[in-house]
Amino acid sequence: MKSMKDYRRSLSARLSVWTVLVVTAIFLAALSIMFAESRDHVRQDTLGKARQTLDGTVLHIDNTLRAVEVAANNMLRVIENNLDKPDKMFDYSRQVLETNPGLDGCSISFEPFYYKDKGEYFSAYSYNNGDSIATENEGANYYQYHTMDWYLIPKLLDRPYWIEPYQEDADWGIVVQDIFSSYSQPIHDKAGKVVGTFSVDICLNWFSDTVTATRPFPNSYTFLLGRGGTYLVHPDTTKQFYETIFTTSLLESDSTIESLGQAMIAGEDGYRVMTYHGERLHVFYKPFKNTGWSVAMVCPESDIFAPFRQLQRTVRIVTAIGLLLLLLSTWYIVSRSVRPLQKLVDSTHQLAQHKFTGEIADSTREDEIGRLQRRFKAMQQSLGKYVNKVRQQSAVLEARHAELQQAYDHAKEEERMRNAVLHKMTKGMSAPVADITAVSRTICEEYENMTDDYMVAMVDKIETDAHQVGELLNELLRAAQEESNTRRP
Amino acid sequence: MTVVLLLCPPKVQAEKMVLMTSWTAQAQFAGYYVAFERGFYKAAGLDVEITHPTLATTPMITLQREQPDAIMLSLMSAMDIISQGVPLVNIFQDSMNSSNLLIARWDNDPLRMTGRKVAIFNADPNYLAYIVNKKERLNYDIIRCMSHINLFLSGAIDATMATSYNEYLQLLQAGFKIGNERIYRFSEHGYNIQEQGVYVSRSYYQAHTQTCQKFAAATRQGWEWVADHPEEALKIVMKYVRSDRAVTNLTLQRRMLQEVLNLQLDADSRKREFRVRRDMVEKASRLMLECGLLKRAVTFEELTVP
Repeated sequence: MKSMKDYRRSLSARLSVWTVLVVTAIFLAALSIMFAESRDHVRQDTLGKARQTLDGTVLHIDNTLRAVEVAANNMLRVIENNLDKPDKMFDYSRQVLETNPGLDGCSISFEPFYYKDKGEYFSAYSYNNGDSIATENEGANYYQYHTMDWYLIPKLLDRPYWIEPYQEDADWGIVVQDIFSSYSQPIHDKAGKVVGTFSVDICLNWFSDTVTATRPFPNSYTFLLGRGGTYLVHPDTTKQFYETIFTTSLLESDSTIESLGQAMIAGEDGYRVMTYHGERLHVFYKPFKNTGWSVAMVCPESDIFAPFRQLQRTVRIVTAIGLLLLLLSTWYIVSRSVRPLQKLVDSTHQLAQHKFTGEIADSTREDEIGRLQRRFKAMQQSLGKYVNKVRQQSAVLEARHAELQQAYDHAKEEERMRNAVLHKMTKGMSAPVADITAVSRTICEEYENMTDDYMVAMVDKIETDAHQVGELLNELLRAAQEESNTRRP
Repeated sequence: MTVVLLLCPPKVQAEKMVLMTSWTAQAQFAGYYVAFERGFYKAAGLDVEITHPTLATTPMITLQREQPDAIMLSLMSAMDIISQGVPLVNIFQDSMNSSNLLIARWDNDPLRMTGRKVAIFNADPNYLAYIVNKKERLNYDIIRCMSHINLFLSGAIDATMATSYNEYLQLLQAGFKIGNERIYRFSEHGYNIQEQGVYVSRSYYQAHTQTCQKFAAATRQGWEWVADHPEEALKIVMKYVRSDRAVTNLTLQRRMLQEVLNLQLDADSRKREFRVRRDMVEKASRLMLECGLLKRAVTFEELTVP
């Protein structure tokens, strides 16, 4: 396998990688601009879609509630015009439900002892259980409706009012387990005095179904808050009706949620981005005109930008594949273009090893590489011839050099031998010469005291040494004569 | 055979006792739930049935209609009923202090709202509201309601009575930011009068004296367990809350239990004494008489000693 070093030494690899890097940089710059623009457009589109969906839901519910109000208002006039006919109240109560199948209950209730012969409690109540409509006088000691929200609030305010959803706390007569909201309004007598209230009930399930269906994105959800922040509709049904948006703040303040809750119950129409449990959320909220409730649509950012992310993913994949193809094709083209160079590199390597006979193909290419290849081939051939010539001359020189070396060695040996002989002879003469010198000095200095015998012995000695020296000199002369003869051509 | 009979005492039939609380299921009654669920009542030989009232009527009517063996009432409610000729005996007292608050809807001091509409609870009349109304000459238009929160939200009332462990928390839970200037705490103005206790008719007490004593001891044991194990107690409370379909939640019940346990500490000894205080009975009787809320004085002895 080729190592990284090989790639770094490869011109085609480096050219390809650099080409891809430059193209990638250009792509990145272009895509960044495109993504920034697209993100904004997608965000606007998606948020617009969410807002439209929410507006549609609120309008639908407002219209439905308005229809309930109109139906109730029409019946109120009938009731107020027939206050002297208490028993007709049961008919009116039933008639409201018969003509408005969307309504679940209806109460026409009066102040204590308003009808003396009816006693303290008189409330004509009808309930539509889906199959039939039941009617009764719901007031009793055990069910003191005068103390209940749906009766008290419109009476005390002296105006119509949508009652916060509630669950009836009755255990006798018509027992209803559903959670209702009631549109309640005061009943006035001819003098304008409040004498009772008229309420129509609508089941919370209707709101639940409508609000829950408002889901423009897969993970978005919608919740509905009552005036006091109660979750009237919430995807977590354990919270629904039992908790408010402020419940968690009872133990530990949560400014993000509190702020949203306060804005919603204040009837604000808005949008905010918030982080909750580590998730970025886009929250749209809008109040209902009729009830004072507020609905919020929560869209996780992942949903808002899902189309953008999809676009990003696609572009990234296409870009990555494109760059990969660019890298491969560039690599192939460059490799193919510079392949002769690789051969030239090999040839250069052979030349460096004194191999001048490597085969270099002829090139028909007319570009720089083709010309380079032809010139290189010519250079190789020329260089081969030159090197051959140099080699031949070198061989001659080497032979001559060997001969000269041999002669030099011979002469050097002779010189050495001559010096040895001279040394030997010089050394052989030195003792007799020294003796002669010493004896001669002795004779010169002591000749008066010497005996004749002694003198004779001394002379003999000198004669012997002189003879010895003479012998050596003769030998030297003979050697010189022989050498002279040897050297003479 | 004789030995076996002596070693195995005959199975005694547990004594049945129906207890009706003063409100829907909530942490205010944790000690009773725990005494039942942890078997304290059973161990005392009692078969206690805990029931919850409808809030659509008054305690007097509930008492007449349901006729439970024992009923939870505030001290003042019990005295009112006694003065109307229904002899009741306190067999257990869990509240040692007043939790009553008067909270203004608008930015006012509740005691400066002369002639305004003030809500009190029909199911547990807040006598202190009548008393302060009379004594401070406030001329309140007192509205008896089943629930305060929606009246308060709608602005149909100008102030509401509330308990510090329930309605006040509900208002906070509804997003109201209520400053101290809007709250009148009765306990801080000479009106610290005990509230919830368990009452039986005098005749029931005379016939079941031991049962009542056992009930009181087991209930006390229940409350002491609650004080030591509040989180476990809350789980038991929530079981009753769900069963009763009470509109509340765990967070609110947790806060409620903290406050209820706090209110159980006697103002002087700072201990859970579970007893009726003579001074508070006398004060309540005097105040109620002065304001025309009692037909006659009710004494500590007739309330506590048969």
